[in-house]
Amino acid sequence: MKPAAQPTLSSTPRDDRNCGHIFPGWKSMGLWFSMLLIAVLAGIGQDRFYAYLHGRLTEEVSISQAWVSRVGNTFAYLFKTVLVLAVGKAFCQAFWLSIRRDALRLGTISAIFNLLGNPLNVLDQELRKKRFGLLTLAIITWMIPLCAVFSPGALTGCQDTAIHS
Amino acid sequence: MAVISSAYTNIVPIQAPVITELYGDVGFITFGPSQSYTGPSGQFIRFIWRLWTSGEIIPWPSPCGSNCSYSSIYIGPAYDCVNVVPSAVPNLTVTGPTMPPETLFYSTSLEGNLSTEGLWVQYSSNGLYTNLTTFRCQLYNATYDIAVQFINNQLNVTTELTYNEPVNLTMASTYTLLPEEYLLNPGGFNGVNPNVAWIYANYYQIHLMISGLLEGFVAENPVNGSIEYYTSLNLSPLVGDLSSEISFPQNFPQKIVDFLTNVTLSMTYFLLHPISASTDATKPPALYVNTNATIVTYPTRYAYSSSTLWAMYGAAIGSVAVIIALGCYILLKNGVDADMSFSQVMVATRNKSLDDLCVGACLGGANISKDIRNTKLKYGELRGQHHHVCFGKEEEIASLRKRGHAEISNVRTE
Repeated sequence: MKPAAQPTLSSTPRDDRNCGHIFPGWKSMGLWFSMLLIAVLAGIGQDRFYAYLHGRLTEEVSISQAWVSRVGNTFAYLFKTVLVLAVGKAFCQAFWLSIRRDALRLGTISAIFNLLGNPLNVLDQELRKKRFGLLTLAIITWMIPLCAVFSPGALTGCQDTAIHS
Repeated sequence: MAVISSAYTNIVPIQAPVITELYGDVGFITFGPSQSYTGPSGQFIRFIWRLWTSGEIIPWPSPCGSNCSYSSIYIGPAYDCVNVVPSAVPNLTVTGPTMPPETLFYSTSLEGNLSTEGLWVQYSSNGLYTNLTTFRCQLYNATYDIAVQFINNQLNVTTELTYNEPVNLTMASTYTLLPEEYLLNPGGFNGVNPNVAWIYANYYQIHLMISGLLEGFVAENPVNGSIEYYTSLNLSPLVGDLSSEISFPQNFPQKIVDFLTNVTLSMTYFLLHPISASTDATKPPALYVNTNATIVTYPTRYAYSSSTLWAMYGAAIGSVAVIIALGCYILLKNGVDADMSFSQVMVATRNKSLDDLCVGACLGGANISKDIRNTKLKYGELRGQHHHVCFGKEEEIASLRKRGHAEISNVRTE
């Protein structure tokens, strides 16, 4: 009996048809700009919410202080999440470009591959020396969540001795 | 612009600290083995010195919260200090080492008959020893009407004094120096009520302590012109450093009145720090009394700082916008929308030489040897195999051209 033909990994016609004339990256680009737009809208939403609360007595607001805090934190969380996703996606693209450039140790490639999830990978010397751009992107990704830590502090409660115009 | 304050006020009963009438042994005086007067107690001396050197009352914790007020009344000793016209000033005995009287800037008289009339103080009000002002402080039994206010836990006390009757210092000194048994037994000394005797004795002890602080003189040395002083006055914030400049407060008599007021107010200190058991104290100098307090509650308003928010968000949005632009450029350069998925890794690692390299390390983890980790790999087109893009050893991989993926994929379709 004649054995079945073994398909090769690199020659499946179905895969090749996916690479048509339309640039395959348009989805990613659309996603990027959508994420940026969501972040801007989250920031504006938080700004408007806080501006509405500004100067009001805590008793005047229909939701409790705990819920005010939760709503503010939700905006901040949404903001940082979409930005981290956007930078993470850019990091992927930069990774695949960077590994074409020159040869790297397998350990370094592993370190880059897992860099966003494990900051200890910065200890890899070759990564620090040869792929500083990727390291910078990773550091920005780690820093963005700080926005969600500090931005709710823009709204504070103060005792009623303020000057109102 | 208008300041809008919508503070809420509540009147609630509280227990406020206040001093007693000192009608008993409150621990200011100590007696020796034969029940004879030996002087002020150590704790009382430290208490007076603390007030003298700080110039402020010893605050007590608020009994009604951080923002509240209450009023209270108590009876205690008080000075009435008045200036004496020069024609009525008697010859004052200067205590301390003898100095030529014409160089005196400050002196007190505590001895002789004048001392029974109170505390006599002479001081230079304009820095010249030729122009001395004299005042006399007479001790009174007085009613203190105090208004206590706490603002953010900071104590502020306003007092109003009503002088009842002057304290006969001769009689008071007699009571103070009496053996303790006379003060304890009703009618023990000429039929005097021991409570009254104790009040006088305690008042006199306070007077003695304050007199001791003011005692002495400040004078100019006639030989070398230097300032010499023999007084504890320079240890109080009332005056500056006497050795460099002689400067007495404008309202010096009132300052003495205020100091005794501070002493009486600060006796609430003994509520938290009772006079030690080493004395024979049987009565507290202060206790808690029921009164009403007005508690002020300030409602909370939200305050938003948009600059705080947008300083962070602006920086984040700006930097991410640049990164997205860079990502778009890289995406165009890659020619393929690659990600970090398992399928992406799988298709990028189809290489016979990598299979050979990984023999024995299939389980990963510790099985991945150092040699494997140190192997240099590159992503590109495998030499000798037409349009096969994957990871491979450095020497077997040729660099991809710009938009390599797309070109190779298109070639395969043909």
